[in-house]
Amino acid sequence: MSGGGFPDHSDLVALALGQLDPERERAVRATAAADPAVAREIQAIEHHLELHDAIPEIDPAPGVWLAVASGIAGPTTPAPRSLLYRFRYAAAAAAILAAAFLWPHPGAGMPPAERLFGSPVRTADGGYTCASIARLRLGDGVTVTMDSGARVGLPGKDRIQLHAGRVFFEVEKRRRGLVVEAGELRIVTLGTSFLVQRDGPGLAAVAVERGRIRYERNGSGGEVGPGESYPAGAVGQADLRGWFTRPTLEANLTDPTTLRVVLRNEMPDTIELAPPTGGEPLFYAGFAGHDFGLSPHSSPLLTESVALAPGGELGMELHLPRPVPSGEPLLLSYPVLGLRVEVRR
Amino acid sequence: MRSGRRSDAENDQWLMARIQAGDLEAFEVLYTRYAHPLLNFFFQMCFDRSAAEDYLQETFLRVWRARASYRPIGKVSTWIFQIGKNYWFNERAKLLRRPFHAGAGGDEAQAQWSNVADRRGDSSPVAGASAGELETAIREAVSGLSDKLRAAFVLARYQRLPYSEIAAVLQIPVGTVKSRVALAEKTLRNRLANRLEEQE
Repeated sequence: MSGGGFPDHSDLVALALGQLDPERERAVRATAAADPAVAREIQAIEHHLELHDAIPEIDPAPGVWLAVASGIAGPTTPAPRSLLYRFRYAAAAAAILAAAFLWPHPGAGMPPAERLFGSPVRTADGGYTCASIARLRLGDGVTVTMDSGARVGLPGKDRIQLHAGRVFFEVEKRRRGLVVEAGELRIVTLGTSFLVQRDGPGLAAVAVERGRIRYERNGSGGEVGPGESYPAGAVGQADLRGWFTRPTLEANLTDPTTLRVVLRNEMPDTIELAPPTGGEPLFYAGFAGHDFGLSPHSSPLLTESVALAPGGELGMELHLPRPVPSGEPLLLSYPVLGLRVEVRR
Repeated sequence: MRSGRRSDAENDQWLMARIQAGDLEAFEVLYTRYAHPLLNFFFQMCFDRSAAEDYLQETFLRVWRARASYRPIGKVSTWIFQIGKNYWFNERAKLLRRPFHAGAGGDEAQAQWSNVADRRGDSSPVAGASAGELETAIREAVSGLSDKLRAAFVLARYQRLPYSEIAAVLQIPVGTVKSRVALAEKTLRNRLANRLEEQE
């Protein structure tokens, strides 16, 4: 390949990155067809750029948004309109989205999606993510329920990628053969409902509720049936459906160090609330640049399991480690995995 | 023919109008849309998750504070990336001005920055997991690029932004983007030559 002529190295890199306009791309490809040196150089660039797939993507920790929200809810910004407002981001976001986004937004090759619940947000690559739990029908015969922070990509009609978080898939038999990829874990559905979670590279797992799936990972594979998971025991059966049938939160601030929280079951099933294991915080609260976890120890009503009938409410008081200054906005969130919920029919 | 559906860009414009009116819920939706790509931009610029999350948090605070100055003449995503990029480069400039770096040349100072960044907290994408050899080699090679080349390469290869949008984010001509990405590719390919041979 001669130096300084056409195409130069920057053209070849642009070609490999898909950045050339069609006319220039045709010209470069014609040159490559006539000159093996140019073709070899393009191949070398493509080979090199592929190497960079080894750099994984990361997802923001939930605390980043809490810190941002705490930071902007300071005295220089107008106070939120009501206390309820502060605790109902998800419902409010759903209302915004209902107005702002006209569903469906098809991903590449995937038939139109239909929002069923919550506020899924379309990502720049044509997939979906959500700030709080969301459910949508992805084309014909495929329904996904996404946990907050989950992110899926839709690279093709019969292919779904789970980039992060956990998603419950309900796939009708006529869509058998649909492939779900979670990093190195590849799942081929055989008419089934199953949960896939991905906590990071190499940390994907699948649990099957009904039907069967076939999995492949690093050259080995097998089948997983109802009540089983891969890797074995990675996902508890109680987690399978319970996690997305969770109560909504409301709050009333009765005094500067006490937060009263009402959990209301708005689902048609009785749910069982169990305290989180391992002593992790049940809620996170933040104000004026502080944020802290509130453990079950500060909410004694949830130190043991409580059954909530449909429409039932459970009130409890959370004691804050420091008083909220008068008029200071306070934000409350609860981590999705922290509150364990089991559905009982 | 116009379908009546809003494009992503139009949705973003609508969200920005709500945000300019002080709507925090709309801001959360915007955050949800762009936290992931922006976090990864910062991560790919320093390979330090903790630092990247700090940059992400500060960028969105700046986006909120600057919301009144947004004008709907360009893409919202470009505007957000510009704010993030400006913050990143300002912080880098501050660090490089410190006496610790006074005697260091550009590349040497950057190498020091990279080493400092790599020592801070969790430099691996997954807590407890060590990066593979190939990933480590790529991180070292990318960390050795100058900031200008690195930003152009990261936006083109990892973020997959069109050159025209990279030009708007970095506020440089498209031709300069093209040449910087090409130079970065050549530099990295030379540094990763051993790895490339192993792959063949």
